[in-house]
Amino acid sequence: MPDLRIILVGFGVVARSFAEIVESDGESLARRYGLKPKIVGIADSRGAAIAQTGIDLKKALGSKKDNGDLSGLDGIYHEGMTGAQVIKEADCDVVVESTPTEITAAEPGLTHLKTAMMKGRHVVCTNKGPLALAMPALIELAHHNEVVLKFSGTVGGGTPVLDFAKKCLEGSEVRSIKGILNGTCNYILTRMANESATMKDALADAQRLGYAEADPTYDVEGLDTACKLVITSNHVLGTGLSIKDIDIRGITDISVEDVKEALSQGETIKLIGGVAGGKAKVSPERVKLTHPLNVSGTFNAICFDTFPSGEVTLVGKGAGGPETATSVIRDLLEIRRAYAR
Amino acid sequence: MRLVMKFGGVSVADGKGFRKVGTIVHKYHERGDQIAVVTSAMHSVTNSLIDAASQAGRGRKDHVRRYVDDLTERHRKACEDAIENREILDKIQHVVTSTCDDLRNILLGIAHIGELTPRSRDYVIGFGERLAAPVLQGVFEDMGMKAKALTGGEAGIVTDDNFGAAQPLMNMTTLQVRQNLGPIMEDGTIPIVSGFIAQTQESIQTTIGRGGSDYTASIIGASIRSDEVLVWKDVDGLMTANPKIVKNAKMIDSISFPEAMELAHFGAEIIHPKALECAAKYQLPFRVKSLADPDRPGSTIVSEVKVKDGDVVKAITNIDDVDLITVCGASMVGTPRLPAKVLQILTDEDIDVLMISQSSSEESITLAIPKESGSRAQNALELSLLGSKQVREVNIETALSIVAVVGAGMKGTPGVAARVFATMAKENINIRAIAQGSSELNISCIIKKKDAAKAVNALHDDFELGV
Ligand SMILES: NC(=O)c1ccc[n+]([C@@H]2O[C@H](COP(=O)([O-])OP(=O)(O)OC[C@H]3O[C@@H](n4cnc5c(N)ncnc54)[C@H](OP(=O)(O)O)[C@@H]3O)[C@@H](O)[C@H]2O)c1
Repeated sequence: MPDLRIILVGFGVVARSFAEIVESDGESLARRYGLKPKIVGIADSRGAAIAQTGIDLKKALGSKKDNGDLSGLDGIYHEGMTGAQVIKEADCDVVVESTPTEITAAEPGLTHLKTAMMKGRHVVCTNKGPLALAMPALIELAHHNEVVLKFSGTVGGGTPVLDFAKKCLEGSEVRSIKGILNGTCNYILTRMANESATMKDALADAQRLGYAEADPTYDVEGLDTACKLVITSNHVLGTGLSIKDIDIRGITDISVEDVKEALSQGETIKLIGGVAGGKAKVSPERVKLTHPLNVSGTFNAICFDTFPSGEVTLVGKGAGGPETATSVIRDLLEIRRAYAR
Repeated sequence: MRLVMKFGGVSVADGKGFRKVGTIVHKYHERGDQIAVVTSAMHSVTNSLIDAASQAGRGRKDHVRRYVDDLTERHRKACEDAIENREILDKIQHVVTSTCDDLRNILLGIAHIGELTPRSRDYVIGFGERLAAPVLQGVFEDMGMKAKALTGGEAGIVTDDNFGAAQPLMNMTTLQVRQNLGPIMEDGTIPIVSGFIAQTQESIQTTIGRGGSDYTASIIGASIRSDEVLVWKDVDGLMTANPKIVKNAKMIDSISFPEAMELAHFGAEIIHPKALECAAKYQLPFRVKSLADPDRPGSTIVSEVKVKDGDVVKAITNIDDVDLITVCGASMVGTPRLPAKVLQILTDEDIDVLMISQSSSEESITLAIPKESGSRAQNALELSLLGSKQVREVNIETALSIVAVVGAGMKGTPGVAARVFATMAKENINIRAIAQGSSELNISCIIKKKDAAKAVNALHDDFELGV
């Protein structure tokens, strides 16, 4: 069984979780799936390491933990080397892109993806930015270069939302999609509903517990939900949306009174990303307390209205390092199967 | 409004032309429009580059040197005639000279090796557009506008590597062009994009085929979501017939993309069909404007044209000089796959087929071929098919014309064909072959070339298209 040679561009929470799995469970991946990942390059914001014979992951993880960079990988570390350079220089089968999501120009992710596909590499991307901004273009580029572009981790973390909708619902026609796609917002709204917490307090708690970033704008303004909605809609319904086409309203102007009012009518308020009839929008909406979409805490839920099967709802954790790392493994398996050599 | 303006080689034939383009653009700029300009090479330059490339491929270094000197001089002269400000003139002439130096080195390199690859050929033949864009930039700056010359690749057009007729990756292209041109246009700068050329994802220059600059204009328009593409021409607009043949031919106000494509196919090519196809897909209206009379509204080409009652036919066109080739089958039982074989042979020879008709007995196939490739087509077919037992003979008939009646109103209007035949009969014109597109947008007849003018005029009168 050949090695699957991988470059990790971005070595944050997700990529490190993935490296840990490879490091500790490598044997089981080989035994169960015939998957033998070999990391031949790693890049973070400060520099990169390349070793065609494979990078010692224990050392890489240790160095990142101790120094905040990869300088502990002496001999193979190049300070200041960029992700794009590594993609150009190191020989590999797959590039795993997990740099931070950015949605105005989607950089540096977009350049990483373009370079990787130009070089004929398959791509696994957990970064939502490039797909939210330029999905039709990226899919076109993948076709043109005859490579596989997978992005399961962008929606639902470890919960296989995209593959579920595309594969498991085959035979039914998906007519519309509605989802709670951001754990931070759902945590805040749940606290407001269950404990009458104010937005401010709930957000502070979310930050303390590590659910929300220090800068929560991207979550509470609905942008993260919009990214995931674009990707899901394009993948499942075949729309050609970009995040710039979407009406987005976040949860910042929701008050405890609004939530109470909804509750008194047997409903609650959720941040919903929805698409129907080619129109997509993100906004706080009322959901019946009895509806399967009414999940609490950091859970995500997505409801596909299908014909003739009716509504099908998938519930699961929407994020998390190890969870998202499993989506990377699923994507790699698919690439491995498509290109079994 | 957001506009794309495309200027062809005739509009930038010399310094005066460049200046005139500046005047036209200036007017729209003053009005507050956001404009992107697409330019062709100076008149005849692309053909001369094609020739220079093949001369270089044959190792003719002296020819190359002389050629590039002339080309440099022609562009420097155009700058002098079009740009007043000394500083701007120096700057642009410097760009022209160094671009030409670059070209000289490449041609000499090709001559040195004595081999012209498709890739280096594409690089060479795109120099005309690469030279014209900076000259326009200079003119615009001279007139107080902010402008920036860009190659198609720099603008963001990315293609496959099918050199000579590269296909754009449209999704990536629209994304990149929007990202590259959007901000500078918002800032009031006029991007001037070299038509015809683009680049692969590895940044290797490609050309996008014949009619390339129109196509570039479509691509840019689709990307920046422009309200309209204005194509400036040395004609008033689209006409109901060739005014050289029909004295009272009239300008057409508005026509649909499919109709315009039919017109283009049948000899009235004002805008290249590839450009129209792209524009139709992105619902991007085109307008043909007159260089001589810029204030005239011109003809628009749009997605949907309302067909007025009784307005059955839009235009009569003709292609002079076609040959008719008839491939006669050897047996009456039919010859399966013969049509496919015939077309394949012609495709391999790079020969255009203008029209095809097959008798229902399948005994013979009749093809209309442009005159210049007629005997080549006959040869190729004879060499491949005679002796195959499928084919008895390949005949050629020369000195013919195609006359086509085009209009969306024909669809579902019974009796148009009968009217065409009646008119022809009245004029005593013999029809050699006919075809009607399944889109019902055209009926085309093959007749003797000497009858063509008479036929076009008679049809034009009969359908009351004149002024
Ligand atoms: N965490 C989740 O649960 C989750 C779930 C689904 C999707 N995602 C998405 O997956 C991506 C990664 O998430 P994460 O949680 O792993 O983020 P993260 O911890 O912030 O890691 C981002 C990584 O990218 C690196 N980086 C930043 N700029 C770079 C550049 N210009 N070139 C190369 N590397 C660069 C960072 O370098 P330094 O280490 O030097 O800072 C860091 O290693 C994000 O787009 C996120 O939205 C995350």
